[in-house]
Amino acid sequence: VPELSLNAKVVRMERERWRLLAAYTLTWFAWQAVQFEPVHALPVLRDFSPRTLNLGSLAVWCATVVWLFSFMVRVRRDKTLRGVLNDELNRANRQRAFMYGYWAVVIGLGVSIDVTVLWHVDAFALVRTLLMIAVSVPLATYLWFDRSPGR
Amino acid sequence: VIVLKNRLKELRAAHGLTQADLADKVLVSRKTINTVENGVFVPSTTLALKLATALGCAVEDLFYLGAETG
Repeated sequence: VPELSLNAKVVRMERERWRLLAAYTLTWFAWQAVQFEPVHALPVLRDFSPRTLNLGSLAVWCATVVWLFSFMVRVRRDKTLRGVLNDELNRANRQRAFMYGYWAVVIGLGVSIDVTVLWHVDAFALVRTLLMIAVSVPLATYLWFDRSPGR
Repeated sequence: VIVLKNRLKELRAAHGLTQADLADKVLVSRKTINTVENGVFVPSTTLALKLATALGCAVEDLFYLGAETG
């Protein structure tokens, strides 16, 4: 097997990281979403019990966590590769994505306060929604930045 | 508005290097080189120095201040 150049390795690992984070975001969002009762009424999910939906989505999310750890172990083995994958453009994208997440949570909190003043809302559902925003928004924006370097 | 501009593309081409070659030399991704060339990403002083060293020129030859166009 011919040895890949550093750039070829980086491109391959960047693609895998993108797919991995996209899968992680989607499966995590899905796992949280199935905790809400109205989601169970969706035509595609109607035939499954809430317990099956919960355990099924948790299992799929756990599979992406295993993939994430395996990716991290492979990256850690090669110091140069790790440095290139986490270069300053990547770090800047990550920082910007965290800022988007921060503001999304702040806006979410502001909206929650208004909503709870007007209607009775389950506190647990509210916290879960905020958690979904806090995790999904930075990851999704990071994926967007990573795919659109000419933004 | 004064912005940071660069001659990275022309100096890289003068050395017969591709974006990937230059990326390998300074240990960043090809995407980073691309975004610096297009003026989308402003590199740190460290990366600017590394790029200048890799291309055998001074940082001032590579980066300069210019008026924003378009």
